[in-house]
Amino acid sequence: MPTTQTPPTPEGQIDADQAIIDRVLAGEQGAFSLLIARYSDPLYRHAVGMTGSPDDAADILQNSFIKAFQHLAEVRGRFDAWVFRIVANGCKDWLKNIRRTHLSYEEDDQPSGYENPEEELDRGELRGDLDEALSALPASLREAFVMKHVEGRSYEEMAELLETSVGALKMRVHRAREALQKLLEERYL
Amino acid sequence: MMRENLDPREAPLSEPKAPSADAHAPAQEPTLTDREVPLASAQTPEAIHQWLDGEKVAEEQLRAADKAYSFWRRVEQETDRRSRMKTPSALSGEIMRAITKDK
Repeated sequence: MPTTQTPPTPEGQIDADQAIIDRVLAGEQGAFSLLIARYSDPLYRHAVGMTGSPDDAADILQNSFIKAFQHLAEVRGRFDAWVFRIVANGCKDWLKNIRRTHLSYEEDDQPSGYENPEEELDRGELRGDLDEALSALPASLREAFVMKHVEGRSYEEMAELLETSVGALKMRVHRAREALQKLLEERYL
Repeated sequence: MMRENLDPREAPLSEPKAPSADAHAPAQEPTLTDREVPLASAQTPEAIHQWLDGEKVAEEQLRAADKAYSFWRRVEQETDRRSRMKTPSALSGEIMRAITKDK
């Protein structure tokens, strides 16, 4: 199985989030950092996947969490789904305003996992080409691909977060794959 | 790479509704305003889609789609690397400082 399935948020997690929200609303501002720590990584990956820019992703995340803090009293139900929508909207706004022609992932503090320089070079090339191909996709397909393959979400979880059907999301992911393969096949297939 | 969409499959009305703004979400839901690209599609074998979706696929089916299989394994290595990205360590502090300043 190539993708990691993210388990659905358990009831306990929702309650725990609500308890933190209650503390923040009661004046304990610092408790908000617990929510940031709990959810920032998957949200950051979403923003990087959508923008292709770690710097812009960080800006979107910062603005989104500030907005979330300011409107925290309005949360009903799952905090993670609510804050995801804020970040996703931030990414869509970004895409509306900026069309990118070249994307790069400069920030890479992860070990490469490749054995030799040739493989490392090849990896770097695929990375850049994949970025470029992703940027050519319509935002809805890119969003679906990133959520499935980078964030490792199940179709069911994606459907819940995006408020659409599993079937529609499968179609988007499949179309994204086929478009990416078409864009990259000349060089890599 | 920006081109007009000529693909009727991507027509806005043909898709189920985009995620609507949650009544409780602070942000207005922006619509996906892609200038859609015409999506030329490769014929990705169904077995590859199933494998990428985490379904069980017989080894011989994957071997039959050898080129696509090795291509997607490489893509998966790259997406797996991205799936381990972490938020910059300073960001949480910056957010908390901004929140405190705003108060």
